[in-house]
Amino acid sequence: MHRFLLRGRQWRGRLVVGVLLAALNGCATSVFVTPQVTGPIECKVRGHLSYTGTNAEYLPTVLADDPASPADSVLRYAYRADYDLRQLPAEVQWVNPLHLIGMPTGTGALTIAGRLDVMRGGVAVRSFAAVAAMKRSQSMFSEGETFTDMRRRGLLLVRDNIAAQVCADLPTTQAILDAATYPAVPAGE
Amino acid sequence: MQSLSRSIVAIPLLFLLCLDAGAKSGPKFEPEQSPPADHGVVYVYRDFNLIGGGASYMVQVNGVPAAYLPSHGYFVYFAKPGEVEFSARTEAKTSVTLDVEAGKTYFIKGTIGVGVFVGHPHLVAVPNDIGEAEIAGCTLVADGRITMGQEPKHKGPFDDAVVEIALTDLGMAPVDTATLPPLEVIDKRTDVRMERTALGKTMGAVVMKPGEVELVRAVIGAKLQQVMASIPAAAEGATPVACEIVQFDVTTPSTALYWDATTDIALTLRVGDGERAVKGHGVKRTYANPSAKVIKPAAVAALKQVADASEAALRELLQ
Repeated sequence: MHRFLLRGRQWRGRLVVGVLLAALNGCATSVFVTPQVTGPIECKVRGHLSYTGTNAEYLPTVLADDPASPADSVLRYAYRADYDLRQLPAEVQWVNPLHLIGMPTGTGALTIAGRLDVMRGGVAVRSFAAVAAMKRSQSMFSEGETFTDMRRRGLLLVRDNIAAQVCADLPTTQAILDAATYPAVPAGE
Repeated sequence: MQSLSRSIVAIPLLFLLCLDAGAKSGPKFEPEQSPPADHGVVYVYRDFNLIGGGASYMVQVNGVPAAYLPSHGYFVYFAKPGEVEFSARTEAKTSVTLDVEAGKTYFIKGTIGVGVFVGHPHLVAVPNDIGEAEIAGCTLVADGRITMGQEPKHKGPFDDAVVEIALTDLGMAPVDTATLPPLEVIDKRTDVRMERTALGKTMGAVVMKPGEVELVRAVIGAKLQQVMASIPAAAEGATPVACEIVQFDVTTPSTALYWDATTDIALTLRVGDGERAVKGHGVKRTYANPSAKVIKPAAVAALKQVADASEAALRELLQ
């Protein structure tokens, strides 16, 4: 009997720990960035910068505005954020007892897509893109990360991902931007 | 057993109906025809939901309170270009940031979810086609057209507690202020605390009627009149009396179970080179709501103490 009670206490302890872990895990934000690129981001690519965003912090640091570049050599950077908030119907949230032990009441997803176009003559001749898909769940105890914080994190991840892609492709990209004309006219023609 | 099951059904239903107290007034949604130049237009709305419909929450823009967002309500915010954060907080915080461009339109949808003690607000940016469809049935909240940098001052969701006190409440005869002896009342408070709170959160202001200065003038004036009447020499000399209000606080500190409606008054009476400090303190405990009716007895008790102490102090100063 005593052994049975002890086992019961152990199971109760494990259940509490399990529920707490599940609740805490539910609040964490999952992040997936594609393409999966690693590498240095210390290089510089020069051209005329075009950026419609208002916060320069989200601009890849590898992009350098160079007034001396050919007039039609443009590095155009843009991003967009798409939100998706899914909640269980309020009626369910209010009556479901599982929410009391941390079961998620909904999820919030945010997709940040960044794109760098290397332009010559008004046409994108080379593009780099990255997407950060982020998702967090919320419970009656925690809302998890706010969309504002997720957006900032996603924009920085996309920024650095694109910077790494550019650095890996620097000779080709810079050659496109530096060419006196593009497409380059072969010698003798 | 049957009545018990009826109650089990009826109580939650009653509760749900009580919760439905969303935006009842204001014009139906109309797109803004002439927004300010060089601004983006952000519509913040909450569509109808029976559950949590009675709860509204304050939406802040870049940390500045903009408007309360009730169920089925909306407000329009004219934002300057740049990153603009819309946030709301109850026991949890929600926020969403837009990169606003001049001349463009944005929609933010508000909802409310279950929380431990109060519902959790949620704000999310939605595509314009969805926003336009969902906002159609919403009504504009009061002061619901807000331009960045010109946000209205908000009192909060609670009405002010107006506490009306007359001299008769203190057991004193009404006096004709025109016949009062010369008395200068100076408000020297550096920190005015006239507020109802619950666990540190504001529940609105407390307003005394008449105001604190007029109330003190009436009480001290009446006592001065009494004292001068009993000291003929003081009346002949007509020495000016000054009364400085050092403290006049009406607060409602609370625990999880009750509020203590509290009034603290501290005055300094000056006659010539002499001065006396007088104080009054009144407390009234309530387990329900620190309304004006609860606050009044505490304020009256404090004013009575001040009146009694002032009479003695004035006698000493004028003799």
